[in-house]
Amino acid sequence: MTVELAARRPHTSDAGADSHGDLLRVENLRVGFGPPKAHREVVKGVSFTLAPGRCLAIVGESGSGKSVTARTLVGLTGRGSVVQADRLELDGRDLLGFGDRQWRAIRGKDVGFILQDALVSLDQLRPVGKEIAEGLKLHGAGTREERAEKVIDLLRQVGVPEPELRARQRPDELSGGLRQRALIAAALALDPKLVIADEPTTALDVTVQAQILDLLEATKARGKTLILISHDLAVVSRMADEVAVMRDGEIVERGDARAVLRNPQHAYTQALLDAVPSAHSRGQRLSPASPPRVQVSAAPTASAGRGAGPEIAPPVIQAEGLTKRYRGPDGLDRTVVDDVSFVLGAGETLGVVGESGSGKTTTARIALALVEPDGGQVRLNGEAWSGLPERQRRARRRQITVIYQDPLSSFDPRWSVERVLRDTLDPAAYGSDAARRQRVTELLELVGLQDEHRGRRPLQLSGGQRQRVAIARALGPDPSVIVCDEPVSALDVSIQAQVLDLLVDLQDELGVSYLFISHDLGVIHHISDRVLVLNEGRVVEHGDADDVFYRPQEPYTQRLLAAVPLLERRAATDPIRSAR
Amino acid sequence: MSTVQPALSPGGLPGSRAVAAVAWERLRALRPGLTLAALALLFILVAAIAPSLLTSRSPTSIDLGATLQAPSAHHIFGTDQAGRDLYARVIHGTRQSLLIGLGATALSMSVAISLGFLAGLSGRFVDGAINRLLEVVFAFPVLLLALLFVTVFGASATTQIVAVGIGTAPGYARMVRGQVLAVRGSGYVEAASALGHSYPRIIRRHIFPNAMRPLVVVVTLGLGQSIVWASSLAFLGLGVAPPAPEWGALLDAGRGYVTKAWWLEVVPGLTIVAFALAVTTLGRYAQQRLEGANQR
Repeated sequence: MTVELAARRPHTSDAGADSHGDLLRVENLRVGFGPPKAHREVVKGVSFTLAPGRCLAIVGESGSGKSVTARTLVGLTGRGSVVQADRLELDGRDLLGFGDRQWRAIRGKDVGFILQDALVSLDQLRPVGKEIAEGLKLHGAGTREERAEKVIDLLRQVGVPEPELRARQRPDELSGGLRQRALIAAALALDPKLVIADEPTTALDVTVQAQILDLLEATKARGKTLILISHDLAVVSRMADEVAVMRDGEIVERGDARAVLRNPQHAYTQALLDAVPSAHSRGQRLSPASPPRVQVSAAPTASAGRGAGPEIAPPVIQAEGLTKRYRGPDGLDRTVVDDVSFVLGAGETLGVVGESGSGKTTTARIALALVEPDGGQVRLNGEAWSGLPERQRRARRRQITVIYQDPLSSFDPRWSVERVLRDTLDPAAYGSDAARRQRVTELLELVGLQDEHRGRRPLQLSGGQRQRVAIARALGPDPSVIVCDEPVSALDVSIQAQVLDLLVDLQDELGVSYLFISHDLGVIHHISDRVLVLNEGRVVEHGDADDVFYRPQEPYTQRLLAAVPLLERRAATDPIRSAR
Repeated sequence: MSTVQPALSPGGLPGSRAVAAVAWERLRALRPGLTLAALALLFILVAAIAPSLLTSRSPTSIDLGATLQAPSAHHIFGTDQAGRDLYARVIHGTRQSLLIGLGATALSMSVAISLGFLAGLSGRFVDGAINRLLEVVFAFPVLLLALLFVTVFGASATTQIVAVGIGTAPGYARMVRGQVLAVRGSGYVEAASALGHSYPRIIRRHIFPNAMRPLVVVVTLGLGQSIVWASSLAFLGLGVAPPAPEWGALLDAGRGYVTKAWWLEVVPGLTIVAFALAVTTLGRYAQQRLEGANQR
């Protein structure tokens, strides 16, 4: 209740600044879409103020209205949107009733906007230097030579090495980190007072993310006011002075970042914080309450619970010296997977962690025998697996199944959930229609879906439900191991928590092993018994999860761990930090 | 365009704009173009199946007392140089025109689907060979290719079908191949192979139906196009022999009288346009519906 009050009367809140000196004042902002009849409000009365030089983080899950709120401030809410507010002021100017021309005058000059996906946001056909110069040109800054000089200067400021060279390159010639830097340079080009960053690090690897966050911090240190839109509480805890937690178009909690993250007042904020997987959450549930599931006696393959080592049960997967080379566009061979060996025991979870391009997914595809290794071999349940003719392998494919990152693209769009699941069943074991129907019911129950979901198509399901169907499909053939390729990366944190909990429960119940691939170290530490750290196709470190995370031996692992932003309220006691 | 405005009294939009918006929505909901296209197509289908329902006159009965008469209440589309009723000729010509269009589209699609699937599913060598072949055929303008056929095999409805069918096939074949490749590389095909399903089964249950989905729309669009091509051939005198009524042939027959009797050119011409437009409009609608359902 107090929270609601704070949201309505921002001036009495603890924002910590004199409200008269505020750079930004937003009162009762409402944004809706669609024609009057089917009008849908996505921002429902949001109020906040922001003093110069402060960083406000707007946190929320997808559909919470956080991005729309930010876009309102640059007039980019899009076609068919209706923006209303009691007050919408930037630096004392009333933004209400602004037309296109006025917005254009403000964008870039007074407000810099950094978008999430630099590859999409930058013009593919233009050198990034030109792109950055464009803003300068539009607002009539200097001559052509002066602008070119300014662009190099800006690129240098945002830490782009060899700025003269990079300015002439197109976005596709730059790495993700450099592209994001170029985008930040473009946003900073006209020295705006306010910089809005919409999920600026979401698509990036942790080490790159750390660099970008450093850069944003430096920007703030130079006196810029920052609005950071993010779903990642750890990123927020590192950057923000103030936090506004949004849900369903409303701010449920707002206040000093440290206070909100350490001592959340609203149940939703608390749930969000609990949902973040990390070392601390190991062995604990992440989601408040899972839907009740019926215990199904679906042929547990091993009674071994979590933590059973390979010395107890025979290994499910044995990979030795896996090597895979691909020919690049330049005609040179690139070694994507280089001498990777690992063992996965029954009922055990092996986490494979690495940044993009580290060979995680190729390793998974070799384990699934979708790709043949150029060197080395895989044994599945003690028998040869890689290098066999497909005909011999086909019958044994039921022993190893897969869950993908994007469940939507892994389902035939024409098929109902029922058909997807029936397709996984062994016709020998489930001969009659009644038996197949029964098994589908069992699978749905196992993953916490209801009978009503049977007839749905993948498109008619939410992201979390789709991933549950993907898990059910992976369980259908009664496998001894499931390869999970970034299974929770596309999900909101609370849905991610539910899916991770479900995976842990299923392992306890069925004794299935997981080869769990993720770029998220928190997720990996949460779920894995042992961890394999990959970098550029090679195994950097391999060992017990706690050993690797608390006592990393290799400099690369240490760098990787240091790059992960940690939630502040946990940082003080988190062994990852205190161990070093 | 976004509208930014101060908060008004609860109710939101100003009155007049709201009324206009509602009226516009109503009008859009009716979709007059779509309704008109459906009616036109229905009429054309009736004309093709049972032309005598729509006219009691014979398309070939000559009345030398009433040659080249302008459209009137008695002859709504006028008459030709032999006094034949043009309305009856257009109605009775529908079946022939439609059959040529359908035949050509069917032939073109069968060739395209066979070659497209063969190319999309085979290895690099077969794929390359088919692609080169398609590129060579594709390089010839459709009309030129069709002319070649007609000169070799003589003018007849069958030749028209074959000529237009072969001429338009390469474009579709390349599209089919692209679809096959896209579906073949999709997540659900990989998921099916990871489940241990055999390749023929995956082709049958995933690749074929999914690659064919967009073709439904293309067929409707191609139908209108085929009739236009066939009519062009007929106009050049390379279609069915007169005096059998066929839209393209009617165009050809009226060519000599264009200065004296404009209706002999305009009426069959507009009929072809109307048909192509109706089919295309419905095809686009189907496309929106199908592909709309395919998005999230």
